Amino acid sequence: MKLNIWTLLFQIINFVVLLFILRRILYKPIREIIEKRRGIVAKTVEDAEKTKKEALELKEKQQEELKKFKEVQDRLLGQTREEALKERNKLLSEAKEDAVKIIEKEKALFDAEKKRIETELKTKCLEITSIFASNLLKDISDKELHMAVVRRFLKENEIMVSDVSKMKETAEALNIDLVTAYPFSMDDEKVVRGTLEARIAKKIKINTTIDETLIAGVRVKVGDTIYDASLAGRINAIALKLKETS
Amino acid sequence: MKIFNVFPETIFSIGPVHITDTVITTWLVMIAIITISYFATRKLSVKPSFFQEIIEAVFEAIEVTIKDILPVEPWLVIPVLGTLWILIGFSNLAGLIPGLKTPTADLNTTFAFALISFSMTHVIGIATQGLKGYLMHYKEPTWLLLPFHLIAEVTRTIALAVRLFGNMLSGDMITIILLGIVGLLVPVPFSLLHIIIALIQAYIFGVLTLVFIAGGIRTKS
Repeated sequence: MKLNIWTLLFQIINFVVLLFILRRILYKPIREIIEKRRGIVAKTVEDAEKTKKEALELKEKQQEELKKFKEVQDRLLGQTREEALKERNKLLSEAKEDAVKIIEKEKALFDAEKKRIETELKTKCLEITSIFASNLLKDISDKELHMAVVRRFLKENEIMVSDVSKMKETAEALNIDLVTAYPFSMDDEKVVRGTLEARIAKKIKINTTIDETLIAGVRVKVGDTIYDASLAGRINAIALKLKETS
Repeated sequence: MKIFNVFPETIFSIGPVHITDTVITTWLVMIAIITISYFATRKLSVKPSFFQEIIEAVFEAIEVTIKDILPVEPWLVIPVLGTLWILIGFSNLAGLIPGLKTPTADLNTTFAFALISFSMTHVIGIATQGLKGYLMHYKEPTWLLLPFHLIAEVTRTIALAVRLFGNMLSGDMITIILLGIVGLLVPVPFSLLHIIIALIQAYIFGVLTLVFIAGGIRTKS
């Protein structure tokens, strides 16, 4: 075994030659293919990550939108509820007002009715009372009472006298319509005429009619004016006065 | 007994240049490697075929091994180291083919590879950290150890060459001796063992080179 410098040299050259050839036909293509695949894998992973990220973002966005939507929904619901409540309250208050109005109206109607009935009742009462009084007076009435009432009229007839004195009557005799409850005797008529003429200081012409409904006393018509001095008239006057005062 | 000679012989000479059978066998091995590589890389695609997957697996194993040991980009040393591995591996196995001599059973061959490994260590060391930075690792941990560093540079290179040479030569010799003593078929188990040894030795040669390169770089970091 000896060192052969040529063999050694050849082997080194062989190695270098092989190195360069293999670089070309083995290492380079294999490295390229491996790196290409790694690149693809990396890109795929990156794409996947990106897609995932995008998906997450999208999800987040969607959730946010959903949240917003819910908020809007809640707000709208709240508004609607509030409005509905307002409307309800308004309706309620209106209804209450209406009710009050209706009650007031009914009450007013009721009051009016009550008043009317009361008035009617009173009127009826007065009528009955006056009828009762009239009947009572009719029962106790007689010529004497009649004459007493007439005498009173003859004494207290200032109103008539003053009215007559104011009249510008040019006629010779004054026409007087006299309604009496009981027929006058001649004396009585004379007394009445005499007294009236003396009071008025004028000649008078008396037209006598009989009306028993007067109960007692007389009713005198001078011109257009009637002077009632009968008991019926007195009762009517009192009834009227009572009706007015109540 | 010419037929059993395990030592290299000069086949022909061109002037002062003697071409031995070692060199011729190496050429044959090279042709085989180039042919296989050529056909292996013809139809590479992103979706690998079964064959392509095997090749890629081999390269990825190389890449991982280098990554574990070297703090530099693996593809910087893969071509040189890969070629070393492939060439030594194929050469070691060449002796199994009848009529061929194992090229690595020739000290000249292993020494040539050891020289390549030696120069690679320094080239890569200088390339990665500069001449000054690379030389600084010789004074680690102290200047006193500088002579030992220098001695180690020489001895480990020689050891690299002799280790491969010794292993291969012994394998061949055992086969031949057994063949001479006992006869046919008996050396077969030893030949099978020799296959394993051949691959292991190729691996060891490459890994040691890797470790030497790493030794030249690591000191800085």
